[in-house]
Amino acid sequence: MAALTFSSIPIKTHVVTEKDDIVELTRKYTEGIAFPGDVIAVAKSVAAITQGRAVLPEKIRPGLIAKFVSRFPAKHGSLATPTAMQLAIREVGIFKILLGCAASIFGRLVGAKGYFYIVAGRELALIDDIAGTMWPYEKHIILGPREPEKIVRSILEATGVDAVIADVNDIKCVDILAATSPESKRTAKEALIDNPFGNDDQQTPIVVIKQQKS
Amino acid sequence: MAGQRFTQITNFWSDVFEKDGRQFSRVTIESTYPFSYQLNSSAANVKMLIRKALANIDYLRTEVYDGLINEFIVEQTEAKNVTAEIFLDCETPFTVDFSEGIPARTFIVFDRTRLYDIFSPLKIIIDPGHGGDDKGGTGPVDLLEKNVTLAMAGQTKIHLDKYGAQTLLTRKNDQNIPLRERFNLALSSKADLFISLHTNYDKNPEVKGLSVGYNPAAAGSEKLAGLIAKEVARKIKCDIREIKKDSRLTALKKISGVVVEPVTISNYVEEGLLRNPHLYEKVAFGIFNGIKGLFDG
Repeated sequence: MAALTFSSIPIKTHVVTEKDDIVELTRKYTEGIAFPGDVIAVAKSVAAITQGRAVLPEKIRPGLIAKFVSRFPAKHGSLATPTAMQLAIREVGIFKILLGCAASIFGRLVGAKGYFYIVAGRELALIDDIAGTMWPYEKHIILGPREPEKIVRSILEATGVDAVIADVNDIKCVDILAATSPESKRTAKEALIDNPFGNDDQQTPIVVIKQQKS
Repeated sequence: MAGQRFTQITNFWSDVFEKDGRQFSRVTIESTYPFSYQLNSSAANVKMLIRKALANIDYLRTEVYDGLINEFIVEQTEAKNVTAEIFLDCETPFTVDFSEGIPARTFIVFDRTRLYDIFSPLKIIIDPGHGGDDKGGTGPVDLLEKNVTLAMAGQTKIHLDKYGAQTLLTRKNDQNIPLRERFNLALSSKADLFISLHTNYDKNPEVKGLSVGYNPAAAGSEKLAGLIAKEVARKIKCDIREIKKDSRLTALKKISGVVVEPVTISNYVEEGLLRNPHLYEKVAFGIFNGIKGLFDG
């Protein structure tokens, strides 16, 4: 039986803003490149940017609770600054954040990690703090995209091609937020492991994955 | 190579790579199929006309500034033709290469040999500021200036060493070296340049941006400071806050010396930028370009 291999075509786009529609953007840039049987992968951050979820920190005034609570998460994480924590409070409410903190303390006592996000909301793990996204958004905090399932379904309807929204980094970590089918999710997880979205100044937020028999 | 199928240009970028111990600049154009093209080159300009092609973006100008390639523009010039135009610092030999596959890749490769001619005669002292019990500034979250200066200095050394510069670090690890010893290293080794790396710190958390201080006693220092400020700012896309005389550097006597503070660590946005290792590479590239500007013809 022939094994499947994948080829990824990263697609450079214009600088995406909240004025763009993610479905139309994806349709336009994949036209003539993606066909049924392929998978279109859209970067999580770009989906969020089109939803107006890129926030300049200067526009946020952290409250006392955000300032206090932000001292506790790991310093390399995305919620270690008062501004990012204030946005987290805005996302899920102060009650969930405080419950998450209590769960986190309990987790530390029993030697387990991740309780904060389990209780406060997994969407908070999708927040990218400053320098987490490509130019010109490197000075923004990027929240996770809203309704990713709806976005991938709409892309499928507009293009006829399976779609996923993916969060990929350079340490071979691929998180699929939404997929139009379990198979497209499996394909994307395997094909995106080397981060074909690129990083930093490369503006390739869409990747077309083509399967080949070898 | 003369693919006749209609192709779509999907991606293009530039990088610097090493082959057989030599450095090259490369522009890569990715497309759905290989394409046929016509090349025109003049003094510092290479123009590739790609036939039977559609670009995914009608017009895109990409800043490179790698010391050789300044920028390139990809443009849909006619209904079925695309032009890729590369603007160079000076006339440079180049080759064109291909790799088939999905996507197909076309490489325009430029020889960076002339940069060795500029850098190999230079002796450069690279000084990571602070160290040991002298932490320097502390960011609002947790970054320490002494650590980020060491990382920036390391990247700068790597960059300059590639082109044969003779570089010396004033410290290689977390130790506090007195300023006098740092300057003495430059004087005793008869260095051409002294590049000190720091970050700014200010009690006002709103203060941000790049600052470069220079040795007012050395001819060329002010020019070097201006060039480095311009090139680093262009690379990391930040504002130049100030270029100023730094009287401490007069201890270097006639050696051109600068203190480069690419960002302000006490500003929490700029502290965040320091968490991205790509920033250090960009700062190093900016310093490299600034030095090149001073010594290039």
